[in-house]
Amino acid sequence: MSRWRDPAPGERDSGDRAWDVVRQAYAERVPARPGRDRRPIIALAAGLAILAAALSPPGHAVWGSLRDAVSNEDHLTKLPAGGRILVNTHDGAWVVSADGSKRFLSDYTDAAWSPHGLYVAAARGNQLVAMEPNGKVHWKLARGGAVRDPRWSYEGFRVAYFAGNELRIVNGNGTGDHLLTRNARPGVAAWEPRTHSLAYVDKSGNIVVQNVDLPRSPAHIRTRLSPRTLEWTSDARLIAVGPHAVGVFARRGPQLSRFDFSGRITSAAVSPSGALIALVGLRRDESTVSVNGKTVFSGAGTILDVAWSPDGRWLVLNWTGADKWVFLRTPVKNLVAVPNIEANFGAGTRIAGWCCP
Amino acid sequence: MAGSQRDERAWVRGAQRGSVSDLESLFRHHWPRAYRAAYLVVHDSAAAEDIAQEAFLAAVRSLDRFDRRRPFGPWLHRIVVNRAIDWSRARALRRESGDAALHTVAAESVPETPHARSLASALADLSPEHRAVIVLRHLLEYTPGEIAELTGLPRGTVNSRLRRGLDHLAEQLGEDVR
Repeated sequence: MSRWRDPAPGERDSGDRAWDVVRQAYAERVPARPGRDRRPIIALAAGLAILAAALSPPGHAVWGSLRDAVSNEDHLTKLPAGGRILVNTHDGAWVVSADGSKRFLSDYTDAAWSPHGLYVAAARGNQLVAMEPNGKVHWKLARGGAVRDPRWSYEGFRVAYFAGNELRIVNGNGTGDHLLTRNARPGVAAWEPRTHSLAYVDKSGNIVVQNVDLPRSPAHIRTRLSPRTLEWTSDARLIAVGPHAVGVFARRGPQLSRFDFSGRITSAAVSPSGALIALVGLRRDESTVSVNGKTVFSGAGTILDVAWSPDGRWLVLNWTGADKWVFLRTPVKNLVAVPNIEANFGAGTRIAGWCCP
Repeated sequence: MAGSQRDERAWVRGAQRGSVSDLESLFRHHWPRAYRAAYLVVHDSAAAEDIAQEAFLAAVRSLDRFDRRRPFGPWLHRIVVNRAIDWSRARALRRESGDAALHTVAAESVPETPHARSLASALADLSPEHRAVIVLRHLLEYTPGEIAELTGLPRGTVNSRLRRGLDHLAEQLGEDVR
């Protein structure tokens, strides 16, 4: 029937408007590595894993998982340090329990743990949803633009989230929703521990720290790092992670130290104690994981995410270049590699956090 | 429709390598159907624009991880249709609760062409879930099996929604809409 081919109202004009937005988002995204088929990288990863098996005790674990990877079996049978891991995929969010059981939370995106793991905040289209880890929804809130990247404050009494071009704040029980600013880069925000101060990046790339409850002037921290991630340490230093450098700032500035990375920084995580920072860098198709500057793991291909266990003794690495998760005891004493991640969770698997026992 | 699967793979590959023109080709190829699909489910041009735009932004965010061996269209359409259903449900809830504090997303607009108007009006009587299945089948031309896979619905549910939806459209429009 030809009428299915009739243009819908506003179809043509909207395409031009949307293209401007999409093009801008494309320009601002983290630059991709030079185009390359991932299959050779995976093959290279497998080769390096075999080499690792021959050279080091941790490599034996990789070798074992590589052997198992020929099937699509689910090898995630338990978490080495207990707790629960929250996973985002293209299809929705998953909660992985300590015994390896997995619960699908439907087609939510950008799921994030509350501080004690009692709740999960997630986005679904233009909705912000707060639910229990078993999927029971407690409240939801609809806004004008697409919702993304919710973040809970230290005790769970506030949630910061992005809706369209707005950074908004809502109480942990779903009440009191209000606009904080429209001058924020989507997706980058971090609550300062033990306060209701939120650090975010404004559209010019500088950092703003603002107490969301008090009408006090926010602190502006100028930087050229172009932060993609913000993290706080336990002693209220702010870690700003850019694509090629990391800066450490005092609570309201200035910059205390900075180190540059010759490749691209793909992920960073501050330990629960706030004393350690794990960084993942990608250089010449090899990812390196370091803890406070000391290399603890390297592998071929991209490692997209790093997260600390609740007790701060383990790291989990989302080694997408080899379709594996790697659990790494720190200081390095043990390594557990889990293959077939995409087969078990679906495409676009990202680790959102490893939370509470 | 112009643009073969080979073209599409080349555009995705080019966009992954940083080519804005390849990304634009991919966008221009998929925008009309993505927007139209959203519109026919939500019946609100501003919301349809947001939904289709957000689907493309999700695509840009996931571009580096996208598996080029898989077709781009079904992945995009799944996002569009699911978000359109979510939006319609959310709007229905807002109307029921009458919660004035919730943000009003957009004013509804009237379709421009007589054909589009009658089709949109006929679809409006159906639930968002029924609309979505009809749109996936007749606008986006997926088979019932593919629709079941895209929506996560049982095949029987897809077939019954199609049957009921098409009967309704035929009654409203006075013609066989298949």
